[in-house]
Amino acid sequence: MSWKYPRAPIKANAVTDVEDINNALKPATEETFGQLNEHNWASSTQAVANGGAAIPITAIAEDAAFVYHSAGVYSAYSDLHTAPLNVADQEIQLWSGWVPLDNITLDFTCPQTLLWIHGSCQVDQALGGLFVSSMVRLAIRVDGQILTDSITGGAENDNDEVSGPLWLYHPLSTSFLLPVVSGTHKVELVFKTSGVGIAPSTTPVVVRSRELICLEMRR
Amino acid sequence: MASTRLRIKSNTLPIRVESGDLIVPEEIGSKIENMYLTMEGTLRSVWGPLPYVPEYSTGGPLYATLYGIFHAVVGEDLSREILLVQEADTLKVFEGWNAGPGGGGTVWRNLIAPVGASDIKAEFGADDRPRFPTQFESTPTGVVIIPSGDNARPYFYDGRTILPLGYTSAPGAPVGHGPTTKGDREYDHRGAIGIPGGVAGSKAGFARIGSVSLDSIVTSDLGRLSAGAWYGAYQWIDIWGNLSPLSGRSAAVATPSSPSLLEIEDKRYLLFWEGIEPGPDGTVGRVFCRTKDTLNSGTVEMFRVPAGIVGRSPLNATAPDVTVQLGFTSIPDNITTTFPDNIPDDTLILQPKEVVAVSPFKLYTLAFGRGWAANFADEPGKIHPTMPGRWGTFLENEEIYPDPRGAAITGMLQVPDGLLAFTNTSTFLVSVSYGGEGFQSKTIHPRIGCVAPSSISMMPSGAAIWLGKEGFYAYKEGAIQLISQAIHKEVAEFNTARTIQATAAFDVREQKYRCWVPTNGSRKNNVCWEYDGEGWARRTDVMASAVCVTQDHRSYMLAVGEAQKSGQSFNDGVWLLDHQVQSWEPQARASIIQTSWMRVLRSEGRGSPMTVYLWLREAGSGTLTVEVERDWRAGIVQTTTATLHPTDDIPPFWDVAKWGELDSSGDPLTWKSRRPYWTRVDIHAPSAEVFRLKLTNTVSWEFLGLAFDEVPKTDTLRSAPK
Repeated sequence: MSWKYPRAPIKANAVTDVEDINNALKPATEETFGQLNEHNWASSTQAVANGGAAIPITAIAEDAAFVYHSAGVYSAYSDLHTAPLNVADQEIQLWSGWVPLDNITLDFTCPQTLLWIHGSCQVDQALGGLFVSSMVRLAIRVDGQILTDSITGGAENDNDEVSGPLWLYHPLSTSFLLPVVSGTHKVELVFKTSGVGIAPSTTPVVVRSRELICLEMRR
Repeated sequence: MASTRLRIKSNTLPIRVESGDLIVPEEIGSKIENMYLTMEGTLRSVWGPLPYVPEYSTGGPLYATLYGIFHAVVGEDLSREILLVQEADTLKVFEGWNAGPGGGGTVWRNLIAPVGASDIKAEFGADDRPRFPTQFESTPTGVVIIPSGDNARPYFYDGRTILPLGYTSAPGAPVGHGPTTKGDREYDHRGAIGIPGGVAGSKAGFARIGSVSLDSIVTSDLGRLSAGAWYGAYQWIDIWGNLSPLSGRSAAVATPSSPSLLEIEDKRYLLFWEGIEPGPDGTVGRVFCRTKDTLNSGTVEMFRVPAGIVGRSPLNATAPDVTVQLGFTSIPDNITTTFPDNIPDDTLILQPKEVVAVSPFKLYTLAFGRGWAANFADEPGKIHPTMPGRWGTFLENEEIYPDPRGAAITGMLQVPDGLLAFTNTSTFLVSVSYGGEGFQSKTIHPRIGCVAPSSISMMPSGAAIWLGKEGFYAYKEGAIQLISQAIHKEVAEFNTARTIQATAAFDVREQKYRCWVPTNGSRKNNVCWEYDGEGWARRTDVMASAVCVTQDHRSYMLAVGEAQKSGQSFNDGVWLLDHQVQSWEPQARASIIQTSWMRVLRSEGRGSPMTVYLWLREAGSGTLTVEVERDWRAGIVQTTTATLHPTDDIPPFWDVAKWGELDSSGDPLTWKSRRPYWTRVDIHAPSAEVFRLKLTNTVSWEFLGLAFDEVPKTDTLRSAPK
């Protein structure tokens, strides 16, 4: 990386100038692909240093580069044949229909922007075994609507081994880019089970660790 | 006191450039010093410089006198960034931020030094006599470097290897042997003879050299070998493809005619060459050259022995010929001193390049895909192009002497219509010859020349600018124009004994040509003159002995020379201009806008300037000094001040304003750009013929314009006395 330096000096008793402060920061942030400017400082650090109150995140200016939302649930691995479910585990019944995964739903308000949504979860069907486990699917649901192109997983044993019963432990992940209008939005990760072929599966699916990330890409 | 009804107000004067003339429009100042033309068109006091290698807790490096600096980006994917400086008798390359103490290396590594660790041991003879600064030229494969010094010679650095540019001497002649001089058994590799000590019946291959005369009475493939004579020579080739001059010719390798009829296929000769010297460092191969049979072929010219030859398996006489690719040249190494030669005369097609040895020169530039060297130590009036793409290979008979009197070349620059070449007192244009081969020069001006090669730079408009004897000139589309008339008075103060060391570059941010020149008897380039295409201003933040603009995305202007830290004396260093850091506070310096003498054209009737309106931009909590001079005398008759911020709408100040406070309007403080404002000062120069204002400050301030009003006093008895 090349050496970069601030431009004009910032001195006591000079007039506070947004361009000078940006010129002082940009050389460094440019080199690290940052987008720091006067709009997205760590507001609380500054306020504390000045003896003031922290500034709520809603005070961030409209043209902040990115706003990050995320939620996750962690469940340590255990052998479900011998141990009970962890508290964080979510049991999905067979032939379930679309069920939201617990504790990772995101509700937020944003301006008109582009959302970059990533969802992932860990599936455990060890209890069922190969011949009585379910086919599983994962999708992103925004404001109650399933995003069809975000559906991942499988429904046919022959074709969809990865999410089918031949893989009793597996992760599923999906992502989607979606423009939204300004307002409040609800982003969920939803899950669905279905039986194997014509034989209904007899045991539920357990979803363990899971995470949902949504990035507002404002410019 | 005159009523305001009687006052006459001047236009707003957006002063940006200066002139030394007595009678100039009031929009032009008489001195603009240390003021930076911002992107918004205002003048802001110059800030910086900063040491390019920062003075953190360990302190920055200390430098001896620096004579040159250059930045280039080279390599196939432009991945190698090179920053070079000449410090006294050493040439150094910048190794990066982390190479210093703790990084296990040094920030500036020696490439060439007279003593101590370096890639090359040499002494340039650098001293403080007036000379050209270090000359650099960037080529697609590396940088040509001509250090500043008494006995410097050109070097080439590609980011990994530094070597002298090209070859300064020719190799020694080889020694050749034929079958008669080395003994029949050793080198007469006729297929049927066994190798001494080898397996009986094994063959040494099929020899291919020798001229044959068929015997007319024999119908089989029998014939006689004619007497023949061959000569050899060679040249070195280095890692960048530069060729040395051809060595001298060997003595003849003469062979007698065969006494009887022979089977030609088996009885030709093989030659053997030895005494082929390895070349100096950087040599990667030798181009071996040989004549054809000079007794029978009708030519005595040398030919390059090809890198790929057609041969036949030594063990199978009936096998088809196979092509053997030896490498990029006939001897693709720099170790062997011998060459077994079985190259038939009929594959000798290309002739070697007739290269001359590189003698030391002082100037180098690129044009027409070639390098152009000039001001040779032995012939200062000569310019000599290289082969295209081989930046250190000069061919015979291509040199040009633009000045028929042979005056020393003092600068070169590529322009759209060719290559400008200067002497001290004349200008020439080298262009492609009308005949289409070679180059020709024509005189552009027989009296205007260039005194400082490093003062030459190119403006975005396509105009070339340089420093001549009479001042700064510009060349565009075949015409030369003096552009420094406005500052003739200051140009006369240049230390002409040392203008040879002037150095210049074009700043891409301020969009100005900047040239540092020694002024008022100084031995250093102590004043920088800046030209924006229309007018001049000056600055004194760094005494630059050389400058460059980085060729990467930063476009930094770097200078070497002296600058002064607050509370210290001047120190040599590598400086980044127009940037400043907290760890290196420059010595306070005045930034000045001095108006020209105002009301000159109506000075026959006196007037009393009453109020000066200053259009400034919010800068700080301090004040600007306003000094008044009158009646053509440089004595200050009044000193007053103006605040550097509006007093009715006070902006927040660093270190004073707190987050969450309210501004003077009762609104919460927010980030804003500094705004322009008007302020005014009352001045006192009653019944003046002319007056002049000098605005000075040593902290940051920013200027947009000024205006004044005056009360005419044309009826006073003092006006134009008899």
